[in-house]
Amino acid sequence: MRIIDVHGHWGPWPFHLEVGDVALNLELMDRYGIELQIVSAAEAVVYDAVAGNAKLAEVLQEQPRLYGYAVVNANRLERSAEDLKDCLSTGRFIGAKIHTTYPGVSIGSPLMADTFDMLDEVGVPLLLHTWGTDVAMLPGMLEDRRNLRVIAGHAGGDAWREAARAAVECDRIYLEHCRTVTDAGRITFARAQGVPMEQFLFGTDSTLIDPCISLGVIRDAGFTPDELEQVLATNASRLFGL
Amino acid sequence: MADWLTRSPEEHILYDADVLFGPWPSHPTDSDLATVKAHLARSHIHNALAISTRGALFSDTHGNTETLTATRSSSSPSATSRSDQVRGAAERMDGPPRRGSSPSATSQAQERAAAPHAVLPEVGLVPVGTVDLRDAVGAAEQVEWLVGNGVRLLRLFTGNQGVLGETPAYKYVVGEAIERGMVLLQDGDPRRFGEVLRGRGAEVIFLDLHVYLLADFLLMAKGEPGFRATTRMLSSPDGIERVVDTVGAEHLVFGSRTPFMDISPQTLRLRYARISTEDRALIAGGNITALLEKAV
Repeated sequence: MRIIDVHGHWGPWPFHLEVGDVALNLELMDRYGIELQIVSAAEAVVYDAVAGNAKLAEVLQEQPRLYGYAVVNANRLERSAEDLKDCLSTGRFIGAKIHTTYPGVSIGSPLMADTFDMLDEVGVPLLLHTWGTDVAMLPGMLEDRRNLRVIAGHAGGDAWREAARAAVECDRIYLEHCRTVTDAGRITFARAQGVPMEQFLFGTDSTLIDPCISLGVIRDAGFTPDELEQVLATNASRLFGL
Repeated sequence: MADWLTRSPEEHILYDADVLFGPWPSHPTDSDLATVKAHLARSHIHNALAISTRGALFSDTHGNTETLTATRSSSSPSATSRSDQVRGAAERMDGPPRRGSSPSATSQAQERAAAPHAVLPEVGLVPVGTVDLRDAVGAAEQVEWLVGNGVRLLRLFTGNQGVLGETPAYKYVVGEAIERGMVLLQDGDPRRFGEVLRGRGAEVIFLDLHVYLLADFLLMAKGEPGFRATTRMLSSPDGIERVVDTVGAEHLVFGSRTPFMDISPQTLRLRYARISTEDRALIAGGNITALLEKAV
């Protein structure tokens, strides 16, 4: 069974963990049968987007099973937009990543609106860290940005009900449920709300989180074999052209 | 078929320290005791430290009565020797696969298909009491009543009850519980409550240790043999391993927070943890067994 992980990371985190070596990405992928992983650099997410992206670019040259997200910092859009284009030109980056907490830019911020405009022009998928009820703003923000496709990373976190409703409203919002706190019934709820199977993606947050956490969520969701194939690989393959 | 799709014997749990039953208004649905027990049984969780949600949210006295009634009408883990249960579970975890089919050959779909017709094993319940920290003036009597009825575990719901830290009520209740040798099931941030529990010989299970707070827990647990945490949120590839390597497997127990959390992520993490079979057995139930024997 093919598995594509659309929410991975590379590099060390400022917690009591030792998960920064790319060898661990590959070890965990092998353990669980994950063929491809799309990663952002932890340093780019937490600290310095441009510097972190540059370090990841070097790693990606040696790792054909990994692809990259270029982290975009909405606080310095012009520089980030340049950097995104540079990263994409390497052929090893295939999307953009935005964290909302570390740079302190929420989904409803005017800075985010400007950043969405830029990404709409560029046209690559965006992995957006979503955590809270402002995920409900996404359908409105995508209405006039027809090229933008957004993966709701963590599926809204504790606002998973709002994320599910957002995905029903807009078919360019994808739900990806990785999270340490695995609230029961999130996927069942989303399906009951009417989220089409095409809008579920598989992500892990590895190596910050062991992939078995998300795989356990998938196991408990009770997908049929055909649905599993869609969620674990086909939908991501279509979205990213992999 | 991917290995992780099939539940393996390394995921079987002898004791789950974090199980609730009853209404929960902030969730889309409620789970009664029968539903919770069936879910645990399907997940190969053999015994649970269980508590009614009524005591957490509405009435501690009525909730405690409800918990005792429910656990007395269920099969009791003390009906057989707990040491035998540990051995039994260890044999189940390490033993040979059933004749005719290896665990890895049994798909989850087959397990699901078989479930409606299979007789699920009865899940043993151990009662967990509580005291409402918003109304703790009579807490000593409530704790005494619990102990008199054989309850040795006291769970605190500081988050749900809006307790902001070491309040007078909190300090009073934990003092009464520790004095009577009760085991505390402590919710919330261990950094917030660990200090008041240190140096008192307290037996504590922290139910909400997030992997981001691991360093603080390890620093506390080094000097406190009675401090334990559940593995529920030790989600990193090395979280469980770090606790085992730093302070020992004796400081971890399994606690799923059924019915509010998915179980498979937690059993899979335990299954794939790079620890010994003996340490896994301690986390999956051996430590709770020892704790219950000690608290009798």
